[in-house]
Amino acid sequence: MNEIKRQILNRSVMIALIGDDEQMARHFEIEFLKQAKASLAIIIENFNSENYVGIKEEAHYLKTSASAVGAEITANLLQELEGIALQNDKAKCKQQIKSLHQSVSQVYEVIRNEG
Amino acid sequence: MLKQKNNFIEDFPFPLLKVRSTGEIYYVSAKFEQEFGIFENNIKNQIFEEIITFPDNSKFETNILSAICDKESISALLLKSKECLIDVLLNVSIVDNEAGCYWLLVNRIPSSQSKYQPTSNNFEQFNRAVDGACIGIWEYNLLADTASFSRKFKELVQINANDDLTWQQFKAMIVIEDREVFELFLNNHIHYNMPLNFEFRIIHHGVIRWLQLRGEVFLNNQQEKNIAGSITDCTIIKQTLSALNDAIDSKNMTMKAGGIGTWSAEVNGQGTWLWTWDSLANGMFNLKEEDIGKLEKFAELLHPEDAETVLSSIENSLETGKDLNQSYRSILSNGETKFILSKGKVSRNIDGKICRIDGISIDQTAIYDVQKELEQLNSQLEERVAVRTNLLEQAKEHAENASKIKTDFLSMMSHELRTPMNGVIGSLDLLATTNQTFESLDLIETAKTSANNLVFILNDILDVNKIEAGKLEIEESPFSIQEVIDNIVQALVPTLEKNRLTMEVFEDPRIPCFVKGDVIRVRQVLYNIVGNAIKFTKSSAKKQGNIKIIAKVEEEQSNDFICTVSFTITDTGIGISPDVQQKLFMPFTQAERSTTRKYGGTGLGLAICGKLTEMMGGRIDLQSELGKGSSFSVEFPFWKSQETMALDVESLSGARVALVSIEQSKISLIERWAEYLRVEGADTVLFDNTASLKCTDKFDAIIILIDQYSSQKKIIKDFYQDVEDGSKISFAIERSKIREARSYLPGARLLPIKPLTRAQLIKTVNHIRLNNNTLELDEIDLSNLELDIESPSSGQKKLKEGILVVEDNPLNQKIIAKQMKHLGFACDLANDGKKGIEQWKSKNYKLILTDCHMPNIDGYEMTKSIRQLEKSKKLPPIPVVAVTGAAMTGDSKRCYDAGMSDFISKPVQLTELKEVLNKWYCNE
Repeated sequence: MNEIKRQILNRSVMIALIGDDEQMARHFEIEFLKQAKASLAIIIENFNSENYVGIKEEAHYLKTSASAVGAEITANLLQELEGIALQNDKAKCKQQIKSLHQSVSQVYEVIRNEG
Repeated sequence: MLKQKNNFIEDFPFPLLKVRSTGEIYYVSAKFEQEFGIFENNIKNQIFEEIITFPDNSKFETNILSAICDKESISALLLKSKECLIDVLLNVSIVDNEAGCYWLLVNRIPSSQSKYQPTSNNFEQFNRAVDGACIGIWEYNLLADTASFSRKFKELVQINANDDLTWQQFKAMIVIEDREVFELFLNNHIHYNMPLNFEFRIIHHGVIRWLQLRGEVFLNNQQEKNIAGSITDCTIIKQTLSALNDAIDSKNMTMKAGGIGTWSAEVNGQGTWLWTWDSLANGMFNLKEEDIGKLEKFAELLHPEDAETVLSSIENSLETGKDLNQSYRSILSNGETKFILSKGKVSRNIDGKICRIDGISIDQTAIYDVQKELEQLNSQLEERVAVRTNLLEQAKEHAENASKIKTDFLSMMSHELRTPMNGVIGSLDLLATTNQTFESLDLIETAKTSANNLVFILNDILDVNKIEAGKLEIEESPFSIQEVIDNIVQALVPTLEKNRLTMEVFEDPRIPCFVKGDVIRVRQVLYNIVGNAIKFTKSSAKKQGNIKIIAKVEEEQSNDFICTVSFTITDTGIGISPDVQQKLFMPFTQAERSTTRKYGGTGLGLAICGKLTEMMGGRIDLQSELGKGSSFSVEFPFWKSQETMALDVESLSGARVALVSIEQSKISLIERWAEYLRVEGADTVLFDNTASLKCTDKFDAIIILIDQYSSQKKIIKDFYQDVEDGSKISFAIERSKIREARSYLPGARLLPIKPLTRAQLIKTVNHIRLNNNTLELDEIDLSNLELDIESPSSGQKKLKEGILVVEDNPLNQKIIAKQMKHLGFACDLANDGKKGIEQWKSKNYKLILTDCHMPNIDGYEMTKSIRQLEKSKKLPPIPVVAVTGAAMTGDSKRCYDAGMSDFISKPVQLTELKEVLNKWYCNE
């Protein structure tokens, strides 16, 4: 469970970046969630309009944030999504985005529960 | 010799004879010879009486003496020959110096004056003349009782000329009523010498003829009494007389009835006007009989105010010949006032002089009385009318005020009611714009439709007002009939379900997608009728209440410009009796009051429907049977136009759709669905079982009709579980079974039917198509999270400056800035390469940390640009360190190739950052 938790949100990453400032870390985590929500909307919009380049760009954009806050699963999914988008594989894109949505929801749950 | 002796006599211009007193002729003048052709040689020495006879057979001497004494002329007959008698006039004078001798002046009497016409056969001539005059001759011997009748007589009494006719036979011919009178006339004549002049009738072959008999008694040679006379046909005279009498009688009666009297005046030889008038005119003025003709009597009765005018008019007419036309009053002896109109026409004689005037006088008293009465009545009526008009004006004003108040109140009320409704509708509109599932959107749409329809009902009240005031206008704009039907059905589905009613909708595939008309009013009419059908239909254990909507194109009333669509709404409800059907379209009338109590309603709906349909050029019919149900049929003509045709786009163009019916009996239903989809451009394939639907990949959408859910659900579940991509399948299930099916087939797309509209079917297929190509995910709700907290900045040491961070990700910006601060550095931020270049130009930086993938100008390009500028300006190169998230092989080479100094990977650890800063930040 802890290992899964860690993968959903690896707090050590944040500590490694900014030190042991929990408040600041939480602040950055919430900022990430806001960013992820907006980026997800853009990714979905791009998917619906079959804009695969747009999907890749947005996925890349969000990936760095996810990595920065330690949302490892999310970052990994974003990485994968970049590759899938380059293949113009709509079905896989769809599935990947669903998974991404789910992982961001999980990050949210972790942050909310530990807030 | 005589002639020589009597030269003066020879020259005498007149015929002369000289006669001795013995009657002997001893001289004949030449003139005599010339005049009569009788020569002296032939008659000399003859006795005068041998050539002259007197009518009374008197003697010569007698006549001579009479002529001499009386000095008068004597009529005589001169015998020229046996056959020739000449009428002469004798004048006698004594011959001078010859006693006993007489001159006889013999003058011829003209034949026209002659009593004795010279003829060779007098009797025959007489007969011919009598026959020619159509006069029959008769003679009757009283003693012998014998009679003789001329040929003409017999002809006149209508018997053959050769037939015998006795006196008795003749009398028997006379019509019996006249026969007795004839006997009387005859006897009177015979015994009392009264004239025999008798008119009588005979009937011959059914035709009445009038005959006039005249006669006179005489004594024949035997001294026997005979009557002889004439008979003439006076039928025509009689008929004419009868007609004339009738005309006169009629005229008299008419005149009497009309109160018209006649009068006339004639000027006599002394220039005096002689007046006369008839009894009617006399009676008009109440005059006595002896007053007739006395103009002064008439003048006395004239009204003093009119007398001068009347008399002047009469005088003027008599002098100038101008027609008389004068109205006046007369005051009679009994005090009565009469109103008279007199008209007269003047005649002139042969010399052109006015000699006569004829006229009429009309008693107009009655007319004047009536006129006076009418004037009084009229005056009274006018007063009453004025009063009534005034009252009506007030009532009208009052009614107009009341109507205005009502209109204002209704407008105000509808505004008060519509305002919150608009709030509801607006909120639903906003809700619809947020991310919702298809089903949620469907429910929102239903709620919105219901709310809108409620507003429409409120509008009903205003509409009745507007219609009555003639202020309602019919709009014309393109709209979709399928959408209207769908809109109505979806709005009423909750009520259907609540009342456990079923509904079937049949839409003609030929109905165009778009037509021109007033969509609001069409919806209003249909919604009202369908709503009523639902309202008045119930389901029971024995009978399922059902409503059917059939929309079809009326080909006969359609052409290139107009499409007439009929909507028939049939229900199995309570029905309407015939007498109620008559008044159903009148405002505020429901079938019965008990209906209002039981079913509610304002009674406005159908009245508005009727009026609106009429205003849109359509018609509405009703057929109903009490206890069995009703069928309302509404027909609208819609315009087709280029505009509507342009909107008619195939929304399912290229879509491949499979339609499956497990129930064989329902194939016709899916065939109709297929028709709907084909009109939209879809390719459809029909299947009669799921087993034959082997490859679902070939289709964009699959609709499976499940008519008997309970018995077919297992088949469906097995099929759904086996199928690879269930997202393109929609199960068409009876609405009442949807809830059960949703739990039995979780995740399956369900399409409720009964009712299913064409629009719903097309939307479903469209959605399936789009669903495969689009994503919709719920938004993550972050509202529960606390907002960011700023960390205190007091007590910090001074930070080293001169670092530019070029990063488009705000989070990464903040993180790096935080890290920098932690390490004792401040930094400026730029969102992309372009900004980075601008800021590098504006300030003397010592170090640039840059992301590589950025919008506008990325990190690589920015670095290249900076390097070029440094070279051109001969500036020392600034350290540029790439902070990249890309971890792919070749990225480092690319960094160096761009002119970057170093690179580190995201996420940047503090220790790594510290190393980079220590390495590249040059603190001068």
